[in-house]
Amino acid sequence: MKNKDTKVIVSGVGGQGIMLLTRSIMLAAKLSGLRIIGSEIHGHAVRGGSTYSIIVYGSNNESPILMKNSVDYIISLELAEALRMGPYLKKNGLVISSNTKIVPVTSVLKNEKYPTEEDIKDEFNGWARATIILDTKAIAKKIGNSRVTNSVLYGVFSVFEQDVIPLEIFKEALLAQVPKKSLEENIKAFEEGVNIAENEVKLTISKSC
Amino acid sequence: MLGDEAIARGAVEAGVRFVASYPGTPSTEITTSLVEYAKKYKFHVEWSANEKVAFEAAYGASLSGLRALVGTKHLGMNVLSDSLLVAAYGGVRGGLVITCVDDSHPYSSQNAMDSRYYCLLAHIPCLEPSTPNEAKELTKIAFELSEKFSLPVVLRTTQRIAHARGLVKTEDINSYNLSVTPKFVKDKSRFVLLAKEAYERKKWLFNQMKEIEKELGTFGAEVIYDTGSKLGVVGVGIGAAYAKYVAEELGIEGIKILKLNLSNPLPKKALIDFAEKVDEVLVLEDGDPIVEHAIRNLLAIEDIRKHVRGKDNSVVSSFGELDPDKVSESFVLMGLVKNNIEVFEPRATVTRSGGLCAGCPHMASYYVIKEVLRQRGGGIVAGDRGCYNQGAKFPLEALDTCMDMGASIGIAYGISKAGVKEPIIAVIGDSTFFHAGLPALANATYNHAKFTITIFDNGWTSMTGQQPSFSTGLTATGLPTNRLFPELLAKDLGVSFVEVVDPFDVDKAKEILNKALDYEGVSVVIFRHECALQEERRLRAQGIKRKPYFVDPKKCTGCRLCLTKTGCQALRFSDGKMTIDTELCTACGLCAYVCPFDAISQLGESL
Repeated sequence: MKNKDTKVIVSGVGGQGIMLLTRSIMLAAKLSGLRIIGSEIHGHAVRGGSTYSIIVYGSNNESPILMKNSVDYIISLELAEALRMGPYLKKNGLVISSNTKIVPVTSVLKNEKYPTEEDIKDEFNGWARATIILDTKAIAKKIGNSRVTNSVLYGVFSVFEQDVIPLEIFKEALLAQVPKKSLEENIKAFEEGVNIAENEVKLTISKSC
Repeated sequence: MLGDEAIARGAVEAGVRFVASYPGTPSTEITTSLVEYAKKYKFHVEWSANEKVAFEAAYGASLSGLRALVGTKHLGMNVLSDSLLVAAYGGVRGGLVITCVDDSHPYSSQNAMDSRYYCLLAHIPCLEPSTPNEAKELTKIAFELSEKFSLPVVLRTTQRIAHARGLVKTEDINSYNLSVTPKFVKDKSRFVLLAKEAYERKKWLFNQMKEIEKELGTFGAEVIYDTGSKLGVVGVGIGAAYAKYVAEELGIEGIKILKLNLSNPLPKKALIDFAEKVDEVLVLEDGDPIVEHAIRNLLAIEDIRKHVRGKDNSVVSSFGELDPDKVSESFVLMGLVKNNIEVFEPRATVTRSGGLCAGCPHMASYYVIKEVLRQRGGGIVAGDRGCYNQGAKFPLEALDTCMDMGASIGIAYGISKAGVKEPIIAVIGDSTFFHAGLPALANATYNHAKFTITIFDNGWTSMTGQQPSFSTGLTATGLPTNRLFPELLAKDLGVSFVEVVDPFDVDKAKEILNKALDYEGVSVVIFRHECALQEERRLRAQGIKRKPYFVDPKKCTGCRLCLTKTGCQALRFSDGKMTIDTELCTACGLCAYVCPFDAISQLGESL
């Protein structure tokens, strides 16, 4: 009855490029002949507000939103936003997050504590299969274009899903979505993400499992 | 394809020739998508002054034989309802479809009303898709139905369908309607509705709905899940998608799910057959319990004794949007599944609500208003609907009221007329001013009040994604047109004190606002500066990058006044000092103006 599918939440802050990343994943799934449904929550995503999108592929599910404790992956473009979507992550799901911090005005002026990388890892510890946090800005800077951070996370994600969607198709989908003038840099970022996932991250996960 | 885009596609496949809408999240993309099709297929698309005007325009086109569409969110239904409830009596000629998206939570609206009441009130059909693909299909059916039975038809979705992305099967574009020559055939018995005609037309209207019910039979009712007969779930529109997903995910046994895509008129026979086959009925619908009431009523009339569960008996939560978690709770309450779902609960989440964009001219306008009122010992600020209502949020907290479109002027007028002596300021954007501000302004000058209206004129309908407004000088499809100036209209409507100022010229703006508040009568101050996002786009296209500002850490005392007074999102704070995100900074200079320590200046200035 229940079919095996992949459920992903992409979270971040309005203006970070959630839609482009979401559409790349959806296109990759579509190019692989998988059924897709998802949700773009850009309606209330005012600048600087929390926002997220949902992607489901490989099932007959027609619901664009999901139950708590059901998502396989949280991909977060902003550190603290990974946590907000936590209740949707299923036990042993995977968290892939950038370490980018966008500290809201409220936190600055009301002296709220803003979580560190360690805080996030501690919170997910025991629930998530692994919490992968990357310095995407540094990686993008090394590549020479500060706007390709999301493609790094996309690369990491694609390694974990390559049994369902081949890496080549992930790459093809990305090429179709990103602006022409930054094609090369985005592909470099994607490949960097793939390398990181294959070399370092898998090690960490096998250790933590 | 996005649900909204699927609706647009359906309309184009059905041969739509006339589109009139007002932007409103989550329905805007229906029309922005139609704008693109219109460029190719040469039909008319416009952003109208408001939804009532849009509906009347579309109705006129329909009476001339064209297929017409009105795109709106639920709140716009209130505005167009005055026309709709009469137009239903006259009936249509070319198919006329209102595509309405309800923000049922709400996420970006001032209420969460259910538009389907208007379909009951107007006695017109209501179709409810459960997926983007169905949204496209049902839009086409809506046009056929409308034309065949001469009634306006509503396609009602909620934000989840509107912003759902799924695969949509496209078909050929109906070109027959493109060759229809518009012709208005007179029929005074239908279109000149005085009381006598209205009495007769109501009979006709009721009869049409009976005919539609007969014609449609069991259309709009389909069993999509069947594991038993303990419970019969009626999932209306997206409710059906949620029900099936949750039932499959939790492996629920003993239930049937009926997908209902037609909520007015109901496919009665199909619903009765379904109810007779199950022990109990549960209705899942996003909005008020409208179908739930109708089914309870239907079963009572037919003398079928079955419990109908739903929102009235608290089996389904009444507040916020319907979602899979609420559906799962309902299944727990009905004893179909045990509540043993363990959920990860994060301990530390950060409050983040967003606000005005970096460099937004509204920041400067609010700064001027707040400073002037502070110096005058306080005052009342009545806000309105648009980007500028972000000024209600921390840290600006500049608004004392924020209700419906145009209400800033109406409420400020009422407060002033009531005899309150404090300074009273209405805040309204250019698009909202044209939508609903004009009658309120005429009322204020005609009835002699004393208050100040500030029009935040940024030249675009920005909240919904920078659609052209009447003050842009462009039509929906980007063609040049008359630009309307609020200052000229204000003068014509009897305002003697009218001034225009750039809010970033802070000292001058403060001086003008003070004079306006001193003025004995209605005064209008127009804060004019283009939307920062549009300005940035325009400059970037010209290859211009303005030099961002920076904070001198030696001078910065960490007082954070720049942030408290402006709320600018380009400002950051770390290790006791402010910094500026150079990617976001638009070089508006407001923070530098505010800083009492002269710690902020433009890059290159002091180097």
